[in-house]
Amino acid sequence: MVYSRDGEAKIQALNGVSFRVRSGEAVALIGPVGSGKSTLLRVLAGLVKPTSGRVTVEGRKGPVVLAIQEPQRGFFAATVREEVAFGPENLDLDPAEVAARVTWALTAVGLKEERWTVSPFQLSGGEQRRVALAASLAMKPRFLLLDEPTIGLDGPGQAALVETLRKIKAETGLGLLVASHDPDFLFSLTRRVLVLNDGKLTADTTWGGLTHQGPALEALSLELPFLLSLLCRLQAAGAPVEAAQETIEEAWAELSRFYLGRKQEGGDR
Amino acid sequence: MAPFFVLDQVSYCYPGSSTTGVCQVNLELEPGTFLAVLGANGSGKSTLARLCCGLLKPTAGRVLVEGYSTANDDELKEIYRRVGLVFQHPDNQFVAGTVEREIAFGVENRTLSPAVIRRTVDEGLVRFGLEPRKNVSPHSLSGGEKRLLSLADIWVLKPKLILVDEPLAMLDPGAKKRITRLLADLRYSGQSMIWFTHGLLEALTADRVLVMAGGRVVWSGPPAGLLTMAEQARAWGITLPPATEAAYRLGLKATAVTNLDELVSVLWR
Repeated sequence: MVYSRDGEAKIQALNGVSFRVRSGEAVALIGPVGSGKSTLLRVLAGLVKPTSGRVTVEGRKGPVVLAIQEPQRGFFAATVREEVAFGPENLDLDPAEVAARVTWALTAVGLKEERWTVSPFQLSGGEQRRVALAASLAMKPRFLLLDEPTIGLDGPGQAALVETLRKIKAETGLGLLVASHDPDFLFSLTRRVLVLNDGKLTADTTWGGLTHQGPALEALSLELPFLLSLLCRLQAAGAPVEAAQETIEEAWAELSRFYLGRKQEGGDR
Repeated sequence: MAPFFVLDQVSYCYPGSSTTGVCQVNLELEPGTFLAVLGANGSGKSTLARLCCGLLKPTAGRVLVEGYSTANDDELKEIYRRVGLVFQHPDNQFVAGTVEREIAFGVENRTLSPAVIRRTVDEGLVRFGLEPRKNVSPHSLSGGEKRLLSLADIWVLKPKLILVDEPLAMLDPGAKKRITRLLADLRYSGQSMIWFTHGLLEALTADRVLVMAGGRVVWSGPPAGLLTMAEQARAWGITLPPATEAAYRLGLKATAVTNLDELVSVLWR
C-alpha cells in the first residue's frame, strides 16, 4: 500500500506497507513523529484512499471505526446520549436498537448515568474521552483504530481506559490497532507491534521480539515499555532473567520470579 | 528573600456551578523558586494556573504579584508583564502566520525599539532551536516544535514567573527529553516557575510540591516526601515514576527508587 499526500510538495506518507491482522487481534503501532501512523490509520478506516495497493476486510460483520486524536474536538450534539446515538442512527437501525447500543456503550466505558443527559462540552477531559470511545463502540465495530487515546488522561484515567478496552475486547472480540507514544500503555493491551518509520513498515514483531532491537529503537527515539527495559538491563548485567516477554503479565511474572529467588537466596545465606 | 508572588486564601467558583473549582489556596513564592503543582484531572490545577496569571479572577481571596492584585483591572497590565502562562494545548496560543512572527507578536506589543525587538526574537529562535523553522506556519510544526514555540512565546517576554501546564503531554519520548532539558536550563538560570502536572517524575527536581485534590491543597512539602507515601499519592491521582511503581509492586518498601538505574542496582547488586 502506498499513499501520497498532496501539499506544497508531494510527500509519500506511506510506502509499500503490507500486513495482515487476524480477527479480534490487538496490535500496537509505534513510530516517531511524522512516520505515517495517523495516515495509516486514516487509510485503514477508508477516510483516504491509497494511491496504490489495497485494504481488504474479511470475516465478521461490522465497520472499521477510527477514533481520532482528541476526538472531543468533534463533539456537536446537545447531550451525551445524542452524541453517542449519532453514529448508530446513521446506520438506519431501529430506535430501540439505537437506544440499547447507547446504553450499552456508555455503561461499557464507565460513564456515570447522571452524566448522560448533560452537554458533552460540560464534561471533564477524562469523561470526554469516554464519550468519544462510547461513540465509536456504539457503531459495533469489528475493528477499532485508536490514535493516541491517552492524550489528556492522567494515571487513573489511563488505567480505566486499559480496563475498559480489555473488558470490551473479551466480551465482543473487538480487534484493536492502537497508535501511541506511550509504550507502557500499549504493552498493557497488545502482544504484537508494528514499527513505522518514514512511511515504511520497518518491523512487524512482538514486544518480546522488540527487546532484541534496542539500538534500532533508540535510533528512532522510541522506547521499550518500562518493565521490558528493566528486564533487559538486568539480563545485560548478568541476572538470571529472560527479557523477551510478550505481555505485561508475563513480564511481571518474570520479574517477580527473579525477585523472589533473590530474596530466597538472601534468606538462605 | 521576600515573596514576590502571593496567593492569599484564593477561591474560585465557576459561574453556574455549585462546586468550588479552587478552594482557599495559600502560597508564597520567593524569586527563583521551582514549584510543582500536582493533581489528577479535574483537581483544580488548570483553574489555579489561570488564577495565578489573572486570566480568572478569584471569587474570594487575593492573587498578588509584587503587590499588584489580579482583582484590579487597572493592575492587570502589570500582572501580564510579570506572569506568563504556557497553555496545555499550544494551538490555543498561536496567533501569527509564521514561527518568527509568532515569537515577535508579544514583544512588539511592548514599547521597545525595533533593534531590541529584533535581538529578542533572534534570541528566542536560537534558544528554542526554532531558527531553521522560522518561516513556516506554527500549525504545521510537529508536537514537540509547537511546545518549543509556545515556551519561546512566553520566554521572550521575560516574565518573572512562568507557569507551564502539562508541558510534556502529547510528546514523543525524544521531544519529552528535549523539553525537560530546556525547562531545567531555564530553572537553573534562576527563572521562577510553576509546573502543573499529574506526574511525580516531572516534579522530582522541584523545590516544593503542592498537591491538589477537589480544588484544595491537600499536601505540601518536598517531592521526596511523596515517594514514601505512594498509596496516598496514587489515591490523589498522581502518577508515580514507573521505577517507583515497580519497586512498590515488588514490595521494596522504604526504598525511594525513582529511576531505572536505581532499581537495577537495588535488584542486582
